[in-house]
Amino acid sequence: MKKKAAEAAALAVKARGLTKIYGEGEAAVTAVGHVDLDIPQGILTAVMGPSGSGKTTLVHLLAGLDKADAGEVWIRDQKLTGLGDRETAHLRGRIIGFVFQGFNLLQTMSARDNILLPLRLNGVPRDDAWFDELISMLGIGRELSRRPYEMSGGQQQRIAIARALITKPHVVFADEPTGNLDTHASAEVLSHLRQACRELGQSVVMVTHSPIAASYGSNVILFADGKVAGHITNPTPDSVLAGLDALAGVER
Amino acid sequence: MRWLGSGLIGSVGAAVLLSTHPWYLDTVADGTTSRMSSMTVILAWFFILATISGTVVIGLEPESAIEVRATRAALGESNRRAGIAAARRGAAAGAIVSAILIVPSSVAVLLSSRRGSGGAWGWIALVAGLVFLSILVSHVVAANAPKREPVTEALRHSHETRPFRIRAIRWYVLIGFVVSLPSAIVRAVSDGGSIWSGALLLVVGTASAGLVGVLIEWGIRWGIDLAPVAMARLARRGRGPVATLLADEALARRRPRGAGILTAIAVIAALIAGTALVSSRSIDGREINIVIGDVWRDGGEPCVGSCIEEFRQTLADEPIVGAIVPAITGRLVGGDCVGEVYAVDPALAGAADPVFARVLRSELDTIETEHGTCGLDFDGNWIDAPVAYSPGSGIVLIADANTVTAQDDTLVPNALLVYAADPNEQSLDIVVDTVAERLGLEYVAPVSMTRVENVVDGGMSVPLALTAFALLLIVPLAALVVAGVAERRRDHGTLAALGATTSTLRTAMAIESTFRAWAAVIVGMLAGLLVRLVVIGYSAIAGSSDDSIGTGSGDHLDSIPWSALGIAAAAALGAIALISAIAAASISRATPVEALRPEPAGSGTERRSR
Repeated sequence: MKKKAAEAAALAVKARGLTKIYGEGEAAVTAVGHVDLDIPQGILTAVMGPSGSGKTTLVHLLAGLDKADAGEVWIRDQKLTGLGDRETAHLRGRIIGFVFQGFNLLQTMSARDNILLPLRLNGVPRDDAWFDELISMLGIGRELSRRPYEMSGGQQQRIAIARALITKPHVVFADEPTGNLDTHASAEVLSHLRQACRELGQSVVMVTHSPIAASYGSNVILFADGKVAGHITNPTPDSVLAGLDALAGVER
Repeated sequence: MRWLGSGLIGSVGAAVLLSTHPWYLDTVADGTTSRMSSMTVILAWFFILATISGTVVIGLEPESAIEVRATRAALGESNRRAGIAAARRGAAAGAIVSAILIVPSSVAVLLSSRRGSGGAWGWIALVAGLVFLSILVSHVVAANAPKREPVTEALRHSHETRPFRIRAIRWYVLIGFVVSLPSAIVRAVSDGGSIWSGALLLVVGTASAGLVGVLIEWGIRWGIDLAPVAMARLARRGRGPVATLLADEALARRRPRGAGILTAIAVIAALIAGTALVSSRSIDGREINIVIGDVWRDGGEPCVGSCIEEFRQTLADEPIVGAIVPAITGRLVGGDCVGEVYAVDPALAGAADPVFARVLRSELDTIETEHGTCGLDFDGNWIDAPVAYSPGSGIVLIADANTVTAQDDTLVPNALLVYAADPNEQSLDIVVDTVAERLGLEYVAPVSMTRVENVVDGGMSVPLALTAFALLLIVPLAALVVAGVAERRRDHGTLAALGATTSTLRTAMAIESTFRAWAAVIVGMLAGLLVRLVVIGYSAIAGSSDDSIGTGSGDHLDSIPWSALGIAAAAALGAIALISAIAAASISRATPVEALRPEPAGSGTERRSR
């Protein structure tokens, strides 16, 4: 029993029977179908799959940003499903961090205010030491007083990562965080995400379509047709490509 | 959303049309000019409708519409081509809305038992045309607002703070010039005017528009800059610090600020229109000049009783003079009732001018509820009589002279209402000169009423005018509330993903809407007051109470029904609060994913992405 409890505690995210269907009748499309998933703590986990495989929907469901048609999700020991408005807001603001592909920074706020926004939304006092550590790690000290539209994509995404980490969430979800960035900026952002896992013990779940991006993770979940199609541990770009090729072979 | 905007404009147009036209007045059948058909008033109505239309059409556009326009521009679509396409859309929308507008109006005319023979149909056509033009113009303007630029720049401009630039007021100056020009020309070429008075009017009109521009630009900016202070105070009191933070963030955006400016313009127009509608209540389009009142003989004796009768007989054979009605002069006192009053015998008045008599009787029927606070002072004696009071009109008609003389039998006629035989402005001037010459008076001072028009019997009553005023406030502001919810749909998704509760988002929306509405109303009120002060100043300089600027007659601040306008504004703000609450209630229905999902502009189809 103690072992099972320890295993459960070591999981950042757990899903059972997770299902999401769009449309009805003959037009129904199963984006996520009866998925069981265990994501360990303290590592960067990449979710990969072909376009339309349902990986973004999966991460949205895991992060509590969308409602599942069936199944349950736990973040550590916190159950996501069936929560009220306040509990859901608390979960999104304190337990989970989210990095969007399009950054989703509030344009009229400075970078500093954007980073601190989740704390304000949730009435959490600011931890100056933690704030300084994040700023230092992400190298955004000079950008703090600037507005998002005055920054490059890479800078904006680093601000978004700081915003996701500022509440010390149990897990950070990132939806194609490098999708709008060039190669150099992508490498920087991915390094920062990995750094957050290694140095801060942060759990990160990242959706990506890039084998190179996936190789920054410790674990890769291959997703196809709304189901988990495989796992890759300690991935390299080549092993990820091979996994994807295998998926393509299955699809063919 | 554009169709919703067009529909709102059509509704406002219908309200204007149905509430302003004196369908059943004989004067309409006679083809006499109605109060709504002067060029200045038509321009004013066009300005109001176009402003509201522009506010609604632009304000209701989602953020994605800006990106679509910017993308099309980046792909090589010229401004001209975009304008033509927008004009086509505007023409289509305008034609349909105008057609829909015509139907109920036509039914109203047909059902009216006392409808005019031709004026009513002309008025319907005129308003429908104004609505059509307003919608068309607003679509063309919306096609280039904000300026079409490549995507990144468009987004940047929609969010960055905008410094005040003196250049921003050039449009106000231009509008003031264009609106003043026709009046200035008319004044310059008319017999009573001169080139200098016309030039003065042009300068005053242009300058006042510029001043209003400065007030709007600074006022809105000041209001927005004040928002953080107000928000901080609210936050300290524990009334939703997060909500105030978010509301402040929303108010800091440029796009709502631009919409706010348009709103302020609409409010100003509404204020001016509301004031004018309320203050221009008088008798039906009859050319009357009161040429004698409180006059004195050469010997220093007041001309009363038999003296007035002598004057009447002297003028009776004058061909240029029409009807002559003896009157008793007095003064209105108390409340906001200021001015000289004239008591006439309804029988004599009716014989001389049936329309005037009918208007007077109609006015007296409603007098108790509308102007019950006015007192009457005749020759130092207080008279208890109902008053047909027209704020700021310069001439005030009261109950029959029989009522007055019954209470003070020492009172006898001491004034004459003199009609021109040919009711046009030139003949009035001749009448004035003729009367002065025939009666041996050095100077006859016409008592301001050179061209008075009816809104009493069949026109817009005070409550109706205030309702219209409130409506003109509510429509653009409500549109902005709805637009605000749509505009920030993605931001609400982001904020929800970051942990904002539904109640926080709703409260933020309500605070933002309320603050914006208050800012618009306050700035509008101040600007309206400024305009009125300028008009008063102009009247003082020009020695005239002419109303050719089109801001309503009257040359006293007392003529502005502040309390009534305040009630109308409060009602409008209450309605805005209600609309805000309803709009805010829709915020929570979507999950963050649904809120963040791209939504095609102008389509209600939900796009599913995996």
